[in-house]
Amino acid sequence: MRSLKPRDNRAWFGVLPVVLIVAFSAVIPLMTVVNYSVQDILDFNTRFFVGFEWYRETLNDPRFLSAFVRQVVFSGTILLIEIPLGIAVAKGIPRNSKLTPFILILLALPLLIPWNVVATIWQIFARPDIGLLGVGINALGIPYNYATDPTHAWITIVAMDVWHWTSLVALLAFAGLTAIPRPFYQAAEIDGANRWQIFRLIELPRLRGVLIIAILLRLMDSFMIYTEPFVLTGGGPGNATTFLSQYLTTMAVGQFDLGPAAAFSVIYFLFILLFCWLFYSSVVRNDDS
Amino acid sequence: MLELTDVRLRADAVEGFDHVFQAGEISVVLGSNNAGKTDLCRLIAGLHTRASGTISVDDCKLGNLAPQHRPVGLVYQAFVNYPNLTVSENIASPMVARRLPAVERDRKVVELASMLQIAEFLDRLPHELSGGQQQRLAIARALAKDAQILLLDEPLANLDFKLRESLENELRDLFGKTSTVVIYTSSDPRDAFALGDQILLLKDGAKIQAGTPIDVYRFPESFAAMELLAEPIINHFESSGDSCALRPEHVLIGNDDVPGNVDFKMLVTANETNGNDSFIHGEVGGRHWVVRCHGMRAIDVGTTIDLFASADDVVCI
Repeated sequence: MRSLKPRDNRAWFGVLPVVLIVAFSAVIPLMTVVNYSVQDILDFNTRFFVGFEWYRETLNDPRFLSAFVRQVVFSGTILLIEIPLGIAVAKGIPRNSKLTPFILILLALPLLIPWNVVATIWQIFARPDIGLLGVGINALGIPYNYATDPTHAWITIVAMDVWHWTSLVALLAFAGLTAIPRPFYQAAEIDGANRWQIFRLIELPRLRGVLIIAILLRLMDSFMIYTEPFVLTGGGPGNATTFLSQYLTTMAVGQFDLGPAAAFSVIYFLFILLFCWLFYSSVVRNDDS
Repeated sequence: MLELTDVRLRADAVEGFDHVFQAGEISVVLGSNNAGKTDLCRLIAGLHTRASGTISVDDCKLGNLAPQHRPVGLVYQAFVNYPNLTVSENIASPMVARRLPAVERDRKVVELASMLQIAEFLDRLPHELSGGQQQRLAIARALAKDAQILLLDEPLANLDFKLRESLENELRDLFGKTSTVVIYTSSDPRDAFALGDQILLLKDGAKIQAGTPIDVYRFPESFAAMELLAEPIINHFESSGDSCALRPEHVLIGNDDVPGNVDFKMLVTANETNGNDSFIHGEVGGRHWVVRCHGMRAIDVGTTIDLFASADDVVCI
């Protein structure tokens, strides 16, 4: 049976502002980049169409590949540390104490500091000559110097990221934990479940939603990390802490290779999209089974 | 047999009360919100609570025994199951904690699931069940502990009323056959009549009366006890210096000269109906009264009507 209501397409006008904003903030810039990525740009008036040449070149570039591997290792490492640590911190926050708001504010502080300031703080903090951390570690007899030793540089960047972002995971997990009704804990107590079982059977499943958000946010953010290693180590020593974004910037702004840099950007973008999609869809598929 | 001695449901209670719950009976604990029903359940289960008192099961004091070592199962108003365990794993969970052999566990799971009519969902997760099925699962879990005492803390309050009625009937059949002490808390007097072999009335953390539902209904010891078993309120009046009260269903509309009956005049202020029953609100002697009568009925607001009641139904305290 046909609907008696006349069709009214005017509702599309309501969507128009969103379409316009998305067009200018995402679609048009992205299309510009795609356009650049298939051309060899000598100057703004001299361009050649080169097809997928830059893509081929980027994917075969050993510097891109090593930066990519570094990036994956970095994101994997900080996720493996920040997610469990964030949950542990959240479990340690008292629920209904007078102290709770202060603890939450204290936890939120690192999140409010601008990224370059965070990096500067750590740069000074970890300096082996004047920094509290650097001098302290050296005083223990360990010749720590993040500017010369790649391993030390890595540890410092990971430590900085953990310090900066674990709070986010902790705050999300805390919100998730407080949403669990008390009867769940009492039922587990009556069943004789121990603390690990309570965590595994009640808290973890109930934290699932917020943890998915936390992992996605941290995955995307850490994959795009730029400011902190740029300020702290400048990508060094050597290329030890040069991540994708920094290599890209060198290419686009430093060497003005617009074509290859554009191809790089598109690949970079697709990888982030792919990782998030893989993670999200595997999680959602688990829900269905 | 579950024996409570010197129970104080509130920290500031002046004196405690004693009560005995018999095995093989369903005891309905009736009280309004915040009367202490949940505190009573927690006290018996050994959970953290402000209530205090001595609890003994078959003359054996429970003392400070931890919840998992008490012979107690508990079902909540909220549907509490382990979210990522299947129905069968959920039912098995208390038995796993007690390290029962797997064969016996499986047998028991099937038995309980078919008893509570969730046998066809054994491989599903709790969130894939309807509300009524989730609560059946919670009851099966509580029964799986093989507890001598089963506490049901307003278990059907979150279900719609048709489901409540059918589950209520099932529960009565289910628990009627066991030798378990079943304690069922509720704020609805209908539950007391539908389920209760015995009822215990609580108000402000104190026991106000106990007995069979019919006895408590017919011979309330206080207006508070009468109020708990009345719907919606009781009608107070003074008779030769005594405080008296009548239930809404015992007040009839009309003028009757039979000796021994009592008569009133009521100014009608409002009408309410649910189809089955109608509630006529009004004022008698400056007090708010409600008359409950059968079927759909409405009386013009502002009219004054005659009421009467049998003297047998008048409760004077």
